[in-house]
Amino acid sequence: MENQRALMMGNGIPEEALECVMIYVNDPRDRSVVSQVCKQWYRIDALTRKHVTVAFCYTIKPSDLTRRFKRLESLKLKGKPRAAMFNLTPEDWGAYARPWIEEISSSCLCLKSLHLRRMIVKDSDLATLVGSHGHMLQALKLEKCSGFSTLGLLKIARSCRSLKVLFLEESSIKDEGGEWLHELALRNSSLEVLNFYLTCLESISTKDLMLIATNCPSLTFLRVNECDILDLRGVLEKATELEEFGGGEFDNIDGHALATEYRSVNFPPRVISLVGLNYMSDTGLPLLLPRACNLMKLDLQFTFLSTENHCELLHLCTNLEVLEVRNVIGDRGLEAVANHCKKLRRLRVEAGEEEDEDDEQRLVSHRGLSMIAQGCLNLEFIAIHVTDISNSALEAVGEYCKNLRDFRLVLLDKEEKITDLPLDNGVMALLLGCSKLNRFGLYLRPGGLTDTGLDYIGKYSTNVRWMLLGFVGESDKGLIEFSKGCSKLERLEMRGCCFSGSAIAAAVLNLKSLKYIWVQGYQGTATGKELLAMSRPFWNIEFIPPSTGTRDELDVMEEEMSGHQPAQILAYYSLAGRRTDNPKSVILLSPDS
Amino acid sequence: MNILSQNHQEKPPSEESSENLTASPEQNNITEPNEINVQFPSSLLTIFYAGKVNVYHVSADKAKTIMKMASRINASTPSTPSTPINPSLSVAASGGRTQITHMIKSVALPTTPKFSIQRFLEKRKERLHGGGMAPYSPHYKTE
Repeated sequence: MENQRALMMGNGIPEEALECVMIYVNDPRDRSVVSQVCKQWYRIDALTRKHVTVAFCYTIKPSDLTRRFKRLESLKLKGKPRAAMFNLTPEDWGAYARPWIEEISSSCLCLKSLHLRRMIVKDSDLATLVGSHGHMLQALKLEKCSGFSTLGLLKIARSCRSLKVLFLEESSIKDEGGEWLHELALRNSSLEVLNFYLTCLESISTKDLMLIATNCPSLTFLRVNECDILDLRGVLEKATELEEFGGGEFDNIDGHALATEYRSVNFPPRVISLVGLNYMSDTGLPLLLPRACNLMKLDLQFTFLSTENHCELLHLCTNLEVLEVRNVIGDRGLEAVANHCKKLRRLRVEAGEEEDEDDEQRLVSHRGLSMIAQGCLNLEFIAIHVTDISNSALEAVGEYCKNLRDFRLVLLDKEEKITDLPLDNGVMALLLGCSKLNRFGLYLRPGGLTDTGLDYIGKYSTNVRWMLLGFVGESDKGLIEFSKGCSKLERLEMRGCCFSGSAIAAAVLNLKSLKYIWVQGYQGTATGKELLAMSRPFWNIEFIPPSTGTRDELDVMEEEMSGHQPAQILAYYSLAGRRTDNPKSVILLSPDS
Repeated sequence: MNILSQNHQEKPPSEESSENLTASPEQNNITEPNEINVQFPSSLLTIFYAGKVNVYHVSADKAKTIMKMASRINASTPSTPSTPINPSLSVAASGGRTQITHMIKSVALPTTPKFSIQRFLEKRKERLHGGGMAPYSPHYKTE
């Protein structure tokens, strides 16, 4: 009996049972661990895994993916470095979707959902995709992509009748007419999510939007471009199931006359998320105030609301979980948030070059950050641009924000004198206190963090997997000490470094878990030769030089003053070898060349 | 190493706006090799350094940024006598343009807002100021 039992355990669990259990394992990290137990588990994971995210499209070949995961239903691919969102990479940098779409077309027979982020997608690629998967595609997300036009969208609209999700937010789309929306309105009745927010499409007809609202009873998420809110009145009345609305614009030229008209706009009853409302000033507040207590997500980054308007509104947002604003919210606005938005989980405060710069309370500083930390104990994500900072504010975050997973602080250049620098002790307290932190960004200025502070980051960022460091540290020594810690750091971005290229190369070799590094602005040579010190198998090194040809320092300075960018390094592990689609401005460094 | 500090403290009375710093002729004559005198008339930036004159065409806010950066480097150096904030600056003390280049290198990397925010800010300028190019902005870009 015992021998039999031992044999069964030795042979493992029956495969059918394994498959049934593995379906419930969804976290990608868990799946990765599961696949490494033994060959049988690897095989079953490969057959049962429904979704894969490829964090950087050059790390593997498309065929590697399809060979392993034959029954993939959902794929997310990320392309250009994050720096592309700040216009720091050339448009033709790479990340072409074509090889992936060609592979998907021929080999991913179960794929229903495709999400591309920061990639170059051509109309021909969309045609290929539609040709093979048009009948089964349920979700297509082209987020921050470029290279295609509304003609490509027309093909999608005509062929993808089962489409539930069409997400195009912030993509750069060539406008060849609004027929795509018309076709979508005529042929689709299953749409749940339609998002073309932050695209510059102009030939959008509100009649087509009305048709979509009428034909698609499941439409719960609608984000549009800058159509006048008054023209969207009908759509908003028709789309009764809408939970999330975004986009639209407000015309402020004749504020008083329009205020009464804006009062006649009603958001659907179930709306709990509002984003965009571009250029809305206080004349638009009557639209929001009655709904404020129901809102879970609010994005006011592109409004013209004043600090007082923010206070008046946020006072009422007692159910708010996600808030995105510019720093016009001020410390006063953040105080209102701290006092009333107790359920807040995510807070983003972007920098806005506010015109009214005299009143200190109208900008965001360590005072606002401290109040938020103490008032909103559920915070998981904080991204904040401040004009002034102190160690005590960071200590407050460490003490109160125990659920924090993602913290990003940018110290703006506005003020010359900062209350309390360097931030060594505050950073240490934050990292020690927020033990769940896995993403950390710190963008300061010379003097903001000493080498000791950098060493603290290395020692105490135990779970951090992604880091952005700008203008931190004092010398190469600081970077080397930092690199001896950060045991789980997988992706590192650095900007405005005082470190040499050789120190960066040495640090890379120290960082045990590092898979990807991006750097702009460091003390390096014009050719990047010293970076070859980090050459190793499967490690690709890409270099964008500061300028081409032989130039003396004055020419370099002139170029930099006129907006030309300093040198960039991008290095990453890849099983696909060196890429062949890089533009001339991106040099692939190797010991052989 | 007092980049700009001489001018910063000894600003002569001037009828021009506060952003224009004019060095007096006497100062020019006794300039030591490592000192820089900076003039900001309208959109020209003139730097006298080590006996050479360099002229650039910059916008007023870029010129302001350079001044701020220089005074910040100047202010922070005394506070850390043992370890310089930027080792390359102290190495370049012997003169030459390296000093300015490194200063400018830091300046050329301001916090860059996200593209979506940039676009919003440009549109806001257009809406609030009736559109068109801002005056005296030689580096106005349309993208």
